[in-house]
Order: sequence, then C-alpha cells, then structure tokens
Amino acid sequence: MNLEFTPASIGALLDPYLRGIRNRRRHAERGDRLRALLFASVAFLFALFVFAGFYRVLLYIGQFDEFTAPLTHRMLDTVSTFVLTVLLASTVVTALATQYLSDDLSLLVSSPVPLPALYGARLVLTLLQSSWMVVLFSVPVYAAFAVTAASPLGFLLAVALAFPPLVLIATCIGSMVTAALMSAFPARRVREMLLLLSALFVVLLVFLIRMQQPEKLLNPRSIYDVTEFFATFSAPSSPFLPSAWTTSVLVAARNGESLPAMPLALLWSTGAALVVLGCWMARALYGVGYSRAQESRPARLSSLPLVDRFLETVTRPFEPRFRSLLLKDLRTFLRDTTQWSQLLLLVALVVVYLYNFSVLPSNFTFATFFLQNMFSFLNLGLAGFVLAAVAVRFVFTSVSSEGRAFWILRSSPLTMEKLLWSKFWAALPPLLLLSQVLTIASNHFLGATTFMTVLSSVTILFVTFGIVGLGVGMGAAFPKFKFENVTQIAGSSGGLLYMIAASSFVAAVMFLEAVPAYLILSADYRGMPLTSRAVAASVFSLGAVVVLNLLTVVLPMRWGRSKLEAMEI
Amino acid sequence: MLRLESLTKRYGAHEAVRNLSLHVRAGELFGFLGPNGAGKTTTIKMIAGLLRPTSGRIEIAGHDLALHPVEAKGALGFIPDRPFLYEKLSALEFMRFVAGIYGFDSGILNGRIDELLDLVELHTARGELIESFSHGMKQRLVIASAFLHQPKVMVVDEPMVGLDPKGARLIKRVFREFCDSGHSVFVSTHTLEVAQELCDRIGIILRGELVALGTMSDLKSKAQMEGDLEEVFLKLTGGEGFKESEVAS
Repeated sequence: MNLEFTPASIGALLDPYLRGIRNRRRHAERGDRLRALLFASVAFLFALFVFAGFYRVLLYIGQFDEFTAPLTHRMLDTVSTFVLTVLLASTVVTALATQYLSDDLSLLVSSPVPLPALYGARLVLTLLQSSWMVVLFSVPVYAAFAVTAASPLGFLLAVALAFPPLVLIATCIGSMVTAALMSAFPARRVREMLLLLSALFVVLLVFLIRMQQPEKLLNPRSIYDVTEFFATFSAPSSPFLPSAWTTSVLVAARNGESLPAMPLALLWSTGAALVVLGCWMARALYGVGYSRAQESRPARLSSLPLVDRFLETVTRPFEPRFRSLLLKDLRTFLRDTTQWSQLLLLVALVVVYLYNFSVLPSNFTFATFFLQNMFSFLNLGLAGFVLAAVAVRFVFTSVSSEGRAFWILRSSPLTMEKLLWSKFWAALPPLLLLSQVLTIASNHFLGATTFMTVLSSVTILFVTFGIVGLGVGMGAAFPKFKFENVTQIAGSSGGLLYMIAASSFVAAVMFLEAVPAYLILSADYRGMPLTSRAVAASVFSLGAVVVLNLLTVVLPMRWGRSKLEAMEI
Repeated sequence: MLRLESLTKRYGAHEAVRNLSLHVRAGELFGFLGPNGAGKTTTIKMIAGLLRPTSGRIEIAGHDLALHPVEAKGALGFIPDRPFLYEKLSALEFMRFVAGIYGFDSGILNGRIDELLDLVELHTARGELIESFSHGMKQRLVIASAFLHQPKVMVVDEPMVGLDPKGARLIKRVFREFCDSGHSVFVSTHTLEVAQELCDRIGIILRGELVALGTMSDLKSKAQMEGDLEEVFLKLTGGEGFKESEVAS
C-alpha cells in the first residue's frame, strides 16, 4: 500500500465536505428544517412500511417448514444481489460526477495532492453518495430478518460484518468501470451512455419481474407452476458473486449457526484488494480520464433539420412569447439524453400498467357487476397517481429546468404569470393524452360499463388540469435552479410535497365522486330511475369536483407566481 | 435614462446597498466601480429586476421598475458577469428565443440576428450548440442577445471577463457607438483602465454607499491628487495600503 494513501491524508481531503455539511446545518433556516423533518418523516414511514412488509412475509413463510429455509435463503440472496446490482449501477454514474466532473477537482488536481490520497477521498465520497439510499433501504429489511431470526443480535452482528464489505466491493468495481470508460471516451458521452444504460436496466428489470406473472399464484389451476416456481428457490446462485458470500454469512446467522470464516474472509480481502487495485488503476488511468473530462464535445449541428423544421411549423400559429418558450423547451427536451431515459421509464410504466389490466380480468372468477365497476372506479385513483408520478418528473420540474439561465427570463419583460401559464399549456396536451389512454384502455380491459368509462374519462380530464396546475404552481414555489440533472428536481423535498398534495387531490376527487357513482350504478343495476335526492347529490358532488379542480389549478399557480416574483437570484 | 433614488438593499442586519441615488443621462457611459463586496453586483441585479430593493426606486427610460416592470425591462439590456445560457440550444436558436420572449416574431428579426451574430463573430458557429462554446463565446452571445431588442439602457456587469483582446476592443467600440446614438450604458468593472478609457462619468461605491461621483477630473479633485484612475480609486476606497504591500511582495 502506498504511504500517501493514509487515513489522515484522505481525511484532510474530505474535510471541506464535512465542514460544508456542518455549516449547512448551522445556517439552516426554519423552512430547511421543516423540509428536513418532513423528508425524515416520510423516509421513516417508508422504512416502517418496508419493515412491516418483510416481517409479514417472513412470518408467513415461517409457517411452511419445508419451504422456510430455501425461501429465506432465496430472499436474503435476492436482497444481497439487489444491493450489489443497484450499487454497481449507481456507483458508475456517481463516480463520474465525484471523480471527474466535480468543480473542486481542478483545484485538487492542479495542487500537489498525491493521487492515491485523492483517489481514496473520492472513493469514500462516491461510496457515501451512491450507497446512502440503498443502506437506508436495507436497514428495515435486515431488521425484519433479525427480529424473526433465532438470535436477533447474532444476525445484526453478521450484517455488520458482511454488509459493509459488499458495499465497498460494489463501489470499487463501479469506480473502476468508470475509470476504464473515462480513459476511452469523452465524459459527456460516457454520462449520456450510462444514463441511458441505467434506464434500460431498470426497464428490463421491471419487465422481467412483470413477465413472471405473479398473478398466476392466485389461480389454483396453475398450482403445478407454483411448485416449479418454489423448486427454483433451492437453486444456489453463483458462488463467485460477493452477494453470495454475504448471503451465506447471513443465512448461517439467521439459522443460529456460527459465522462461516471463508465467505467473511473473501468479502474483506476482496474489498481490500479492490481498493488497492483501484488505486493502481487510478495511477495509470486517472490523468488520461480527467483530461478527457475537460474536453468539450466537438461542435456539431444543432439537431436533425427535419425535426427542427417540424417543430418550427407546428408552433407557428402560437403567440411569439409562448412559441419561443415552447420551442426552447421542446428542443432542450429532445436533446437531453437524461430526458430520453426518463421517457423510456415512462413508456415501461404505461405498458406494464395496461398489461396488468389485460391480464387480470381473465382470472376474475369472482367478477361481478359491482366489483367490475368498483375496480374501474379505483382504477381512476390509480391512474391519477400514475399521472402525478409522471407529472412530478415532467411538470413539477418545468420551471426549475430553466436552470441557471433563469436570469434571462427574469430580466426580460416576460411576466412570471405568462411564464407559468405557458408551462401549463405546454404540459397539458401530452398529459391529457396519457391520462385518456390509461383510463379508456384500462376500462376496456376491465369490461366496465359505458357509464363508468365516461365518468372515469371526464373525471381524469379534470384531474389532469388539477395535477398540471398543481405541478407548475408547486414547481414554481419550490424551484431548484442549481442541479446536475433534472431527476434531482423531482426527488427534492418540493417534489415529495407535490406527490403528497397531488395524491391527496386525487383522493379528494374520488371521495367526492364515490356517492354519485354508487347511486347511479345502483339505479342502473336495479333498472330503476334516479331519485330526485340522488340527482341532487350527484349534481352537488360533481359540481364540487369541478370547483376543487379549478381551485387546484388557480391557487397553486398564483402561489407559484408570487413566490417566483419574490425570489431573489 | 436610468435613475436610482435612495436605493437600499438589506440582507437581515447587513446593508449591502445604502441609500444609493444616481442618474445616468442619455448618451452617457457610466462606470460603476468599487472593491469586492462593495455592492456593485447587488445594485446591478436590482436594476435588472433579479433582486428586489428593500426600499428606494429604480426608473428605466422613464418607467418605474416596480410599477411598470414590463415596460422598464423592455427598455433594458442586461449582460451579467457569468453567462449562464440554455446549453442545448444553438446560438441562432438562442437569439430567436430571446427575440420571442421580448415579444418579437423571430422571422422579422432574422436580419438583425444575423447582423449581431456577425458583429460578435459568431456567425460561423451559429448552428452549434451553446454547450460546445468557450466562456468568451458565451459572453459574446449574451452581448449580442442583449442588443437584440434595441434597448435604451444597457446594464453590464464585468464586461471584459472571458473576452480576448480582440473581443474586448470590439465591446468597447460597441458600447461607445451605443451611447453616441443617444442610449446609455451602466457598466460595473474592476478593469480600471477600461473605466478610465471609456466612461464619461464614474461612481465609486464602498460598503454599500456611493463615496464619489463625477468625471475623471472631478474624482481627481475629490481625491486631491493627480494620477491615473487606479491611484484615485485606491485613495478614495482606502486601498493604498493594499497596493503598497502588494508591490512590496
């Protein structure tokens, strides 16, 4: 090991980050603390939810003696493999930012800082940034395994010994992959490639899980497949994978056996060896990679002329200010590969959503008039939630995506009101199309009545207005103009608040429509006309839905406008 | 053309700009100088509408910025010190975008866009994405876009940052011609040679307050000394010690 690679030298390089965190905490304002508290509360609830889910599953499979051991083994292996895979993917992207693109690197690289110390410090930073979310997710999962284990403390000790080296191994491998890529390609190309690849990876994962058709488990006729399904659980995973070493330590601890020395030795020695190997690799490749990261992409033509001409033509009828903003947003969107990866995920989400509905009805041996319509009604909520999830990514981010170029708009005669409304009208048509496709197609697959299909379609039409208004307004109220990629905006505390607000809004609309939907369907089922009371209740409820939607558009838009006008940049 | 009346900006207990009043006349190139942290950028950001004054009034070409922001901003061109732009647009698309947000149909301004891109020597790079531009190219693009809507007042924060000598000379010429045609430029700079060479009048701000205002000879008599602007500036801002120690080292 190189003498320059010492904890003291690495600590000195990490000092500015630690001080930065401390200073941020010291100078946090009331709003920041509130946001942190809210974020912590939601994270805690999520952790509780994960814990409860795993705890119930573990209790349930504990009832089947012959399956308990292989199933628990498989579950632990799945968790370890998940951690390893996700960490590998996220480290490759994070290392690109922390080790090659970070602004402070020019100062460090040009100073006489020994390369191994710099590599070590950046490795720690990469590890912290890429793994905190996975580690947080793992805590409730392993806690559920611990409380259902023969010796909870023994299991926790095993986690403490076997989990950190797994994280370290993933981080080291990820960093080395980035170093290799960076020495061969320019940084921007690598970044775009990785973002697309990680999106494709997630899409593939979603499809693979979905295509397993877990709903078959509900059908007694497919019991033969289930037996086969369980049989696969006993198959061991590759013994060369670090995740398998972690699993074998955890499985032994859960069964109350003594911890196996070999996998533990393999984990720690591999981790240590990879740190040293990474350091050697950095010595050989970092200079080349960092130099490449400074190179701009060669100038190229602005875009495909055909697409450009098309955009120019379709936006021609609009007023100059709106047209300018719309063209700018469309061009930026089409040329940003992070947006494509998000679009890929969206398409996967929609396909899986509709596929679910196309598969479920055939298994509905219990489908009745009411159940079918109830599902159709509940589907409204689900579609609203999906819409909110799409909007948090594409609508909530629309103001913040102006980025640090926002000064151009603020110093121009364009009013913030005009800006927000132009964002609103630009976002509305694609979301209306999406919401209508989701609702009408899923109702078709569910075999819902015409009344329910029309009610869902009209309701989701209104809800889309509300969700877009809320998204643009709250996006303006919680702007984040400094970001590395747009996904960070959606993941901010403002994005979280938006999701809560949008979900509550959808729930409120469903609550208001539940009574009229029930009354009208009941009358239809019995072949009776609607009573005057039912008509009055329906008119009142539907009127309330319209008012609620109007308020959800107007109030957040006003709030966002006033916050944006008062904002100092 | 540009009038600041009792302009004050407070950040909590800290007063970044205190009771600043000045008037930039039509045809005048006004230099705004001051040491780091004196309040120059805060003042400029207030004029550009990026910061709200705590108190006081800003009038641009006869329009009160607080009461009639659209008209006031329509008469103003702003060139910031750091050119943050829409990186995924080409230079030409960016110019058309700016034309659009100022309410012009970009088709009408096509000739003017070409002329301005030619002027800042970006004509050959007009189809390239801004993300591939150097700092100086981005700065020149911002300068071209600031002149697009034919403003009456130009507010500039550190115009020479990132520009090569050729670009710097071009900008000086453009500003002078702009003022000669009856418009005004309010420029903040640390490059004292530029201020001395270009500006008709100079204001010096120190710790948020205007400590000197006038022509070069007015400043010299206020400082009770002869010499160039650098010496006058250091005398008026109490920076002689810094200069001497710097020379000594």
